[in-house]
Amino acid sequence: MSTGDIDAIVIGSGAGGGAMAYALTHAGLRVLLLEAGPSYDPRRDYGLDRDDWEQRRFPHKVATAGRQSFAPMQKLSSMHDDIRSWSRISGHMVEGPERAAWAYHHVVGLGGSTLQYTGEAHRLHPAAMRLRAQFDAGADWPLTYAELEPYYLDAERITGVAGPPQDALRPRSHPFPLPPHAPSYASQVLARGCALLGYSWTPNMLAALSRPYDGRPGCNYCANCNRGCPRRDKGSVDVTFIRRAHQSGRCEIRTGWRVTYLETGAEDRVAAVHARNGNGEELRFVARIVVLAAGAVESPRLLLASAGVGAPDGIGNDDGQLGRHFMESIAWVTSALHPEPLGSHRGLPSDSICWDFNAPDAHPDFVGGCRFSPATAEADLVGPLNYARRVVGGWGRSHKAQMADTFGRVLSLGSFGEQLPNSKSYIDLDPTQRDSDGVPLARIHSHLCDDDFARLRFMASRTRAILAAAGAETIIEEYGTADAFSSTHVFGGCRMGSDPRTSVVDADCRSHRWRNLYIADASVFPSTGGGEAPALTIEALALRTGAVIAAASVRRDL
Amino acid sequence: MDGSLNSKRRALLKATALLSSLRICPEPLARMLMAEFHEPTLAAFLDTLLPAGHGPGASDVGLGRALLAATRDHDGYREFLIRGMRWLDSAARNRGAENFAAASLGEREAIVRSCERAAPDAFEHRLFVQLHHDAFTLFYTDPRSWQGLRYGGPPQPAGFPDYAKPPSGKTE
Repeated sequence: MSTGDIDAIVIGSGAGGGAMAYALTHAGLRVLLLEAGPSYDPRRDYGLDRDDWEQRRFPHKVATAGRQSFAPMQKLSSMHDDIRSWSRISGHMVEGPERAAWAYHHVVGLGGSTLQYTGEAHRLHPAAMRLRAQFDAGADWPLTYAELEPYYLDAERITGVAGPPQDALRPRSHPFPLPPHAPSYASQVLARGCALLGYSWTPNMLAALSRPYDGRPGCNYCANCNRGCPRRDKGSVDVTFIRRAHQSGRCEIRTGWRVTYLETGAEDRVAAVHARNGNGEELRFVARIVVLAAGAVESPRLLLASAGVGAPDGIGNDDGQLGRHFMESIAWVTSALHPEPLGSHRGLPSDSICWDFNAPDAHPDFVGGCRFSPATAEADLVGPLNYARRVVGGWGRSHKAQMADTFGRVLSLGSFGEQLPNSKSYIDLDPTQRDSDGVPLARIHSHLCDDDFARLRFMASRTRAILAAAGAETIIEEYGTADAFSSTHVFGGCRMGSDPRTSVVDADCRSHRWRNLYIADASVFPSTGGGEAPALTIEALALRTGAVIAAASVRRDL
Repeated sequence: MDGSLNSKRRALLKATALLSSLRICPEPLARMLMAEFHEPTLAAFLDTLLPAGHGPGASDVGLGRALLAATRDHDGYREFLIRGMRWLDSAARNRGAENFAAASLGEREAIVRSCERAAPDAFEHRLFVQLHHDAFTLFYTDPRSWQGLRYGGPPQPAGFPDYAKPPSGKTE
């Protein structure tokens, strides 16, 4: 395929870009998929069969640290000492007077961060899309849950989601394509704790195959989805959407091409996409349609860095909204020792879930929900080395005895919750730091408000209560958002909305001004949801936008 | 006597480093150096950190040799190790033993504990921190060390198909 044959350029190949490439190619359009990173070979690259598997988490081929910068973080207050990150072995994890900027966790590669996700495939709580209308907080989505539902179904079918037969919070027009996974033994113990407290505990919705499907084998419960799935049973977009897009014969994939800027043209159109590869080659790609899907940090950055004629403050920034309304998923994890051998290094990382506090009004003191799920794998306490360092510590005869007694007894529970947008959380361009192509780095401004701390405190207290009710005795480690930015799930920066004065794209994720520019990632989210993992919603939105683009293309509107 | 190496040994080390950089049979020489002067001390130190019992100990899995092999291209690390082993032998002599390896387990543990509790910038503390980190990494990524833990990894290719059941007494 030569560039002259291309209908659409998709920039970025994560959940949004991968789903978009699928949607467009299956509508008959020809797509060029540009990915800054390399591709991964699941069997070769994910070394889970190696003796040293535990030493590395995900085998990043492109280093992610330092790809963004952080603005000075907010001061820590002693008011929040009860929700600081700490370890019984090493004490406070954050030593300084300010919140730490640990990391924006992501993957640069074909498939994006779905390569390292746990496969959680959540639909948003419908009320979380109506925060402004119902609760006078945050912002509303300019589309309804019902409008998105058919695309949720498609995304679940294509990735192969296993889930429970009932979902009281999120109406379904069809069942999940696969039955739910049986809970691990450790999750069964957590279920006992929830039952004692009167909380529900149900199978989680997971893009991990509970039986063979789509030519892929079922999961064998190794607990290490975060390190990459060598079996391909996890529904990362490289083995689902992108594979299907490629099989259509209408998708050209170029890995190792870093987009440096978008060139604007006449009639409010993006005229071209400029990109460089590792060999120093620089190309100008042209297509009728441009879809940006680089994530909630990199998408605003690229648009801001593309300032030029007709867009002096960045593309899509006529009303100063670009980069605004950035949000992070608020998180808390407590790990504790259970007196009973659990074999907690086994099973899917997040196989069960408590949705009881997921609705935005679940708690009377603040707006925004949260959820609870197992987190032993998320905490990376599933192998001997981390037990030795973080659970047992010490050395010598007592260390060896405790290792033998302790291994497999850690029970971790995590909680993710809503963050409402605030004026101090946003993305801009770093005034001093640039990447190897000379493009300014994205600079993350992260700020928590009183409601965020209140929600975190609730999440921490319920996490500890569930663990205690489940029989866990000694807390060994806790960490959370109160004193550190350490987020995979980031949102906003190119908000979706009806009013150009408060948003960047419309309900179809099309730029309010730039007629052939669409965005397909979590940067368009007006709200984060109450702890739902965003990948499925990103995919569903991309499929919906892809359908809109295909229809417009047929009408020759693009 | 935990100071720098004497000039003869330093010259030999430099020669070894040179040979190493030229890739002319460097390992036997380096091994000779360690074997002649310090390998028993290193083995005893590692066995003090990770003794046999509740599964194999450091010597059972050849941890000393593994550590030397893993660091064979790192001349600075070798010098650090040799200096450290000299420090341990000296500390043992101060307690009346012939050297660290010949000291009783209790004496060895007391010496290691003194390293652990030394000031953060003290050489012996840095020795403890570095070797503790490296030894634990190598030990717990050796499947033989998993025998005492009821752990049947690595995670793949078998996975954990019994994940929904309580763990049995065997390795899972």
